Amino acid sequence: MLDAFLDRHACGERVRFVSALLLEEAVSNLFLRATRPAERCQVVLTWDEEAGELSLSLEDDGEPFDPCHAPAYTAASDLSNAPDGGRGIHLMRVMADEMRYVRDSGRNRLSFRVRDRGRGEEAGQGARTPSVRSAG
Amino acid sequence: MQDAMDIQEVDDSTLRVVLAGRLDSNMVDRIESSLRARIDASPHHVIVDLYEVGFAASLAIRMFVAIARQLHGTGRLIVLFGAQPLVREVFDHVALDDLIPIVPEAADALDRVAGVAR
Repeated sequence: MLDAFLDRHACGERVRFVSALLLEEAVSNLFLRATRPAERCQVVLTWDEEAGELSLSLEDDGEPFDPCHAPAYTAASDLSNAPDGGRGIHLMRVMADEMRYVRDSGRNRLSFRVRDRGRGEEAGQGARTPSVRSAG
Repeated sequence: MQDAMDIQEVDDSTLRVVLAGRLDSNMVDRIESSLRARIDASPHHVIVDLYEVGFAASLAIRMFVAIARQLHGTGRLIVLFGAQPLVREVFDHVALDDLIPIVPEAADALDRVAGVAR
């Protein structure tokens, strides 16, 4: 589904990689964190041609969970104190250009924006500051 | 790029694990137990060829860290090499190279394991 959508809009390699990563991490997180798994999860993709930007949102009916307010990731200094997991939320935060969370009408809505740097902006040019917000 | 894993014995001290495709949760689920069992049954260091890996998510990192811990107890090493730029960017964001050596080429990986006293 994601690949077909990105093909249709001729999205660049970075948008493809980051959107797949966000979807993978967000969906994995739904299953890993839930004591009561969501029964329904809807993914909505929108491509803004003018801005060269992908919007990806996931809405689920599971327990409230705001990844924007999850504890900050701390890198381990060596194997003895390294956790096996716990890196997915951090990757979502740093790889997306924007990440937002809202709890609305009993549902979690997690949304991301990913800019296509091949369109109007050179890859890797300038500093990028991800935006992370939550409300609701 | 089709998902695949191949394990070769490079010499009497090193296993080369060649991965290809997308290191997402599906692939990690498919390969992790057989890869860890193969490593467990061997006295060798492990070098992991990532040239043909186009995607890696956090569960792949979790697998590599678990393998590193598994090897560490027996004085062995895992070294990753050949990561494509976006895969390397993911590794860098979680400072994976503080835990596991990540080098550009196979020759560098072999140098790293050759330098480890057993």
